[in-house]
Amino acid sequence: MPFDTFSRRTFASFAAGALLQGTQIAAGAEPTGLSDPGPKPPDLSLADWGEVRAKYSNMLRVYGERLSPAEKKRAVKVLIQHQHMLASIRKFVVQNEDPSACTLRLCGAERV
Amino acid sequence: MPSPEPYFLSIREQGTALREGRLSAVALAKAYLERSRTVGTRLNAFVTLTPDLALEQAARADAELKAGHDRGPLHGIPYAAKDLVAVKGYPTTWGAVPYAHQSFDYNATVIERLNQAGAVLIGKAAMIELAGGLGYTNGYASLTGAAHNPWNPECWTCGSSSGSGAVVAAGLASWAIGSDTRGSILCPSSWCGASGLRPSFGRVSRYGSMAIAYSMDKLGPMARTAEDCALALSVLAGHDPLDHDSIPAGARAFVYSDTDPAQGPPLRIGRLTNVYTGGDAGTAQAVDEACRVFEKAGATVEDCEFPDGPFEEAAELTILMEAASSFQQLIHSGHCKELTDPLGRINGYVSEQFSAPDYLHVQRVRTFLQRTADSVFDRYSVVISPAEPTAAQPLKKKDPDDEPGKKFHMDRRAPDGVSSLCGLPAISVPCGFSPTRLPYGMQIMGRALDDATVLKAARLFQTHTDWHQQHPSI
Repeated sequence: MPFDTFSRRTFASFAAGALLQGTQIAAGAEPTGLSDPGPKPPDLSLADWGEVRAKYSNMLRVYGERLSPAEKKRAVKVLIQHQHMLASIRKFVVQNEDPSACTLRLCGAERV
Repeated sequence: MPSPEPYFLSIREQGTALREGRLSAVALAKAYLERSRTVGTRLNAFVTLTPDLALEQAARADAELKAGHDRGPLHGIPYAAKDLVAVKGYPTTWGAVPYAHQSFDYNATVIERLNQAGAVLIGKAAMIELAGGLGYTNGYASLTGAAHNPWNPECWTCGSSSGSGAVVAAGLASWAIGSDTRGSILCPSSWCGASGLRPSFGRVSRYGSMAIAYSMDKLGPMARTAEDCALALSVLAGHDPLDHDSIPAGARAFVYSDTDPAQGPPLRIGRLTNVYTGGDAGTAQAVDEACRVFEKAGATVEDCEFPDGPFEEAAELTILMEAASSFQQLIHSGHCKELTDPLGRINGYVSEQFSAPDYLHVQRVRTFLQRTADSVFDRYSVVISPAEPTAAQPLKKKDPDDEPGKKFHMDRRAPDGVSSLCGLPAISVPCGFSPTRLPYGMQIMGRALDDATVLKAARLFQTHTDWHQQHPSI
């Protein structure tokens, strides 16, 4: 069933089902289409694709009403690009004892 | 100035003429202002001209120089500032519609330093909206439209310091301030045939300048020669307690020495052979020619490979994640929909979906990448490569990523991404021309805080070549 024919009621039942399957769905997502990011790109893993779907869903929950269908489509494309970059950088494993990236610059240290 | 050539004199040459009384600062400012109104308008180089301020500053410079009060190399020298630098009393639009009427009641630190040095502000240079902070897909993504390349107005200047590139290449001011988060000084310098220095991170205060990515933003000079970059940096550089990331006062300060660049131990130069391998063959040939120039000038040059690592991914992710914070108000308010570029209108919403652990992971990986990059300079004084994979490209409104079937690809060792991510000093200097007479740029990259050696190498190259002395016919 295409999303753009969903009523709010049918969408709600779909969303409940999806949540049961562990997929986040935007509570306020509009029934007028593009709530689904489309097919998984072949070069993304299932886990990465799941992450893209979750992020897309959350983005629609917060900002869905501001976005046109074309913008939603573009957002999926951007999320996929971001995920490729994240996947690449996550391959670089850091251990607990590796250097921190957090620093606290002491207030007033310049005066010492 | 009846001939167009004086517009292209270097800062050094203009300064000498001012001190010898062959030129006045007022005449120089007036000439540049007139050219900026005509040629500059055609190229979309400026957002705002500042004629009242320029003429007031120029008259003061003339009077001071006449009275023997010399404020140094930029005294009486006209410049443009990218429109993300706050200038009290003038609009500072960040190149973006939502900020078209913004102004600040204080000067950025760099403007204060230039005022103290007696420099003359001609105007605020055009730029890509938010300096590309929320993304953009083409050169039209600006409050003022596309900046046109003086070498061929059908081509783009590159961004995000698009106006600054046009200003320098077209001779609309003696030099310009650019900003560089990931290549925004180097690319326009390369495509416009300018010499543009992206200093070490923290070398130049960013206080009063728009932030994109706090851990990557830098300001730097774009000029016609490497020596001019050095002269400008000697004024711009210095500790500023108002910039959280400013290099401490006790750390290796930048002091420009105008000694012969051939003096001292010979430079040991690494020619990167594994970057931009799919680029225009002409750029690689131009850098190969440059290697021979360096060798004739007494340097040793050898091929080297940059170590592998997710440099580009880390750079892009850092910018996206930090920009989601720096532009949070714009994103939350929904005013990002007023941006010109379709990517900019949505990118903030998308970037907010990154997680805090991902940001911290990228930053922890970054420390390893910094060490990897630093190790290259155990062997080499500087490394060189094409600054960009191609010469200037035609202005297109279409997003090149929209091509059907285009797959995700990233040049993870792109040298401007590496040097940006790691805060390394780098300069782009002209090193040749394409068959259609568009400039090629060469990037010279050095160890963190070793801006002086990068400039020394660039000056050495320009002592033996004249690419930087060639200017577009306008």
